[in-house]
Amino acid sequence: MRRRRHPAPLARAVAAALAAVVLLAAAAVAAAGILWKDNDGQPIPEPAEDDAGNHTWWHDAHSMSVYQAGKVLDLGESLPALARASGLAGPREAVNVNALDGVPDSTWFTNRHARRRLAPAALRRGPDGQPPPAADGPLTIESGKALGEAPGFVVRDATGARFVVKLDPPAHPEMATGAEQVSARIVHALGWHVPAYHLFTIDPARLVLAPDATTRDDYRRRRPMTAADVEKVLACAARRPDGSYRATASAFIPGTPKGPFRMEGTRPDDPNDTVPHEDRRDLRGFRVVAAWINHTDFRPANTFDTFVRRPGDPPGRGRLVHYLLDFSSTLGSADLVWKDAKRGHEYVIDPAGIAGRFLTLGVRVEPWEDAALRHPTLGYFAGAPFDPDAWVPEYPSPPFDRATARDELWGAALVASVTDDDLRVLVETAAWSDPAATALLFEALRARRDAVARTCFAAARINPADDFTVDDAAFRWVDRAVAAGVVAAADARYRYRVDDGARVVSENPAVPRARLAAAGWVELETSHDRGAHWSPTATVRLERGRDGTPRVAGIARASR
Amino acid sequence: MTAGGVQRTVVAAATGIMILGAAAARADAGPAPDADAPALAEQRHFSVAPPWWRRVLAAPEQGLDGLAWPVKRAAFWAEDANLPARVQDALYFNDERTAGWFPNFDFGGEISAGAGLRFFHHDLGPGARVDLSTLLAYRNLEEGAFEEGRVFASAFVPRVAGGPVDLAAEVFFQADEDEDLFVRTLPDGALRLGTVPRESEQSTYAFDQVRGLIQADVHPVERLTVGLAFRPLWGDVGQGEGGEPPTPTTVDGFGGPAVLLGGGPIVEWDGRDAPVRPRAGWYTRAAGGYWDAVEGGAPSARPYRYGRYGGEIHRYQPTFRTGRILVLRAALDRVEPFGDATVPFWDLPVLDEDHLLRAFDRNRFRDRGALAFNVEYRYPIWDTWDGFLFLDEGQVFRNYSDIAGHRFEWSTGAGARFYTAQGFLFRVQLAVGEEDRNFQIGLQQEF
Repeated sequence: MRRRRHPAPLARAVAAALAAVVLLAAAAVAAAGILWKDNDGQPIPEPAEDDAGNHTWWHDAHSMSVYQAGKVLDLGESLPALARASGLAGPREAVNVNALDGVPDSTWFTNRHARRRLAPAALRRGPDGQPPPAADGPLTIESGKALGEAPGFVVRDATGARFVVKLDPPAHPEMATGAEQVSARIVHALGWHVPAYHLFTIDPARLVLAPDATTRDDYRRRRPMTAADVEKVLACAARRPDGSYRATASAFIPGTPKGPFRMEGTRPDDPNDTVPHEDRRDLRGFRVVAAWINHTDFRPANTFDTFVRRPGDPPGRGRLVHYLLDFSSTLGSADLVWKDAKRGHEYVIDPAGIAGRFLTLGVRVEPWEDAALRHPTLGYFAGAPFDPDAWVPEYPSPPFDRATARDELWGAALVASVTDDDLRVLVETAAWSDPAATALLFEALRARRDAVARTCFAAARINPADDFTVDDAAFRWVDRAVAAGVVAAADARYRYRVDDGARVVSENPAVPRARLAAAGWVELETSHDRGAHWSPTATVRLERGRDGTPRVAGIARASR
Repeated sequence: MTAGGVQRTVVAAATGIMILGAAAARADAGPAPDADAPALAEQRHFSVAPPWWRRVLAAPEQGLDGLAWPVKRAAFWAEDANLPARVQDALYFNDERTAGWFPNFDFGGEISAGAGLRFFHHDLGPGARVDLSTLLAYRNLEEGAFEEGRVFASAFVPRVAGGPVDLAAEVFFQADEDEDLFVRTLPDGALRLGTVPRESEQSTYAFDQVRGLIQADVHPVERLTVGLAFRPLWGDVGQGEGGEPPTPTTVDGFGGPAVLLGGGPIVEWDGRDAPVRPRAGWYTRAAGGYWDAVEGGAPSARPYRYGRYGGEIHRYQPTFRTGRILVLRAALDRVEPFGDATVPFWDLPVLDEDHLLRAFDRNRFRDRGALAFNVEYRYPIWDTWDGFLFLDEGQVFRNYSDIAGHRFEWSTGAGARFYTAQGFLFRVQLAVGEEDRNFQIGLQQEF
């Protein structure tokens, strides 16, 4: 297990002060308004396809060896990391954040449920504009499925729409397809681009093999696909008593495929790609979401870049849009089998964990050792044991490695935006035949969501004040921990200082307008134990409109 | 080429790979940006370009990337071509994958390192299977024997199982010019083996031997094996070529080539929950036999004729948590010469690094009896890996009356055992004892 190390108090204070100065200065420059729309969708020439990320053997081996060693050998990384560990420097924060520490809409991310709540129907529907396969007519098999463990193939329906079809394994009917339905909708609702995943029933009588259908042989050479190949796929799938198959159909993503995106650096042939991916808030903060839904298989092979042209683009030009894919191995599913209860607690090869167990002679009991099977459809997925801070994917991921308390506050705010009612809507999309499984999934996701909130909104590591507004009566904010229900409002206290004035303690998350006067900034601290301990500061810069009304221009957050 | 020359060549090659690989790795990062990319990037709200010093500081990492680049390309190729499928197709003779061949390796144990082939067919009828393995082995790799390319030992092991009787055969050949015997010559000229000689009283001898085995087993009930083994031996001892003093030629075992015929019954009860990575249960084995020389004898003109018996018992005891087990083992190996006959020293029971007194040199203790007790605490450190701590206690003896508490030798240490989902892979261990410490890598699952 690994926990992020935080700098020592003196360094934190220095770092916080520096960050505040920099951010307030930036906020002053950006006084014209808060940036909520990034301009990374400018027309560019069509890049070449880059499928390096689909080579999972190298990715997996590299991430556990060369990447880990490289973190030490890259002195530009390791020396600052050493400084951070020894308290001489603050965390290296994400780049693509606006003055409110939020993420503008981009080709990577769109603010959805957390900013503008989606109606239950929209949560249930998922991505717009990608209807499910036609209910009638032939489903023409065009090819075998190129990647992934789940049985499946590529089909074209009667309307000409193409889908990747995935089936459940015989031993675990409904497991992988249900996980994909729920997790894809969660990830979409929270803001990432995902293809539409539709649950549907395959009547084998509708399957037609295209004359030019192809598949890959054992040596991955393309060859004509035969009826025997289709039978072989179906034989590896869970068949219902009526002979039909439950399946997930993922709509083909619009545009021209350009391969997976990388987790580190930028794409040289994409001039829009100017932020190293490991420093993107929307990838760093995804760690919290991945932890919530146990998306341990987050790696390049499960991402997708597509080149999209829009009306008005110069000829031959478009932009890359970045997708996350393949959620069938989330929750308690590992596609063909139950996900090992160990996943999420350790990397597949985790030298620190192995060495720790060797040296502690087996006395240490690992949290997954007592995991119980929750339900045949849900596997070992449960609300506990779950430590969001210690959660890891199967292989080290540079953006996740770099996630800071600010990144995780942002990610947790997305997670916490899913209410119990929202969650009920989302888990029902699994359409599991046993209601007990759905109920267990709801309870597990709710418990994990609350664990995320408790961890990432903890006043001990960051000030969870957010959503700052100014109205006629007061300057207000939301204490995310209280809003998430993980801290009682009665236990919360807020200490603020307007400009260089005296500190004032309040039981309410608000500063009366009268106190603001011509204030330029407000420094806030939060306590969740009635003032016994205080959070790091969040400094909010205010600016005046033409009518003199104050409005929020920027936030600088310190963290521990 | 001298050792220094090899070192320089390796360093030069690694440097070249690092530089060329780093350049290739950079090229792998993707095509060059479009000409108007800088202007476009200028307009971006968020843009980060690493300064020159940042790239300089990253040079060591770039070098590592360079070294890894050839591996990366190989991995890409292997994945694109699905190399494992191609290899498996080459190894199996049929689509059902019930017949085929595999490379066969051995490391540690009685031989230092060996490689060979194993052929098998596991679908010759209801439950019938045949295995045939060969091995060529080398000893003392660190002393250059391997470079000389000399075969030290070989084994040929066919097995037929699945019928009413399991049949196994083995032919083991060894030609070693530097075996060790720890022997003390007393003032009256008598020789003492066993626990009497000190570590410094090491002598060397050359030894050629051929050991055969034909064994038939039946399984009257589940878990019980009853067998009968025929074990012919041929041995010839000569002067060794090691740096130590030569073994005295008066010790029983010299005196020209000897051929012994013998064998006896074997009874085995395997009550473990799994043969490869047992977590609970009992295992016990007892064997006996009789050997008589049809050719050759001791320098004292006494014939070789003796009985041999022994056995071992293991208990795999679960402890406070799943996977944490205590393994207790007791073993006895005893030879008894008949009448005025004797036993060649090279067939006496042994306790040493290969016979579960793990801190002691090979062949360290030999005598007419060997008694050993082992305790291992095993615990999981990864999905298919176990760590372990061990304590060995053992002594060799001439007569049972010689057994005494203070004569037990001990070794202790720790290690790790590595398995695959199918079987035992290897173990590494560090043992320390009164005389020495010993790091071992072995492919044998001793218990």
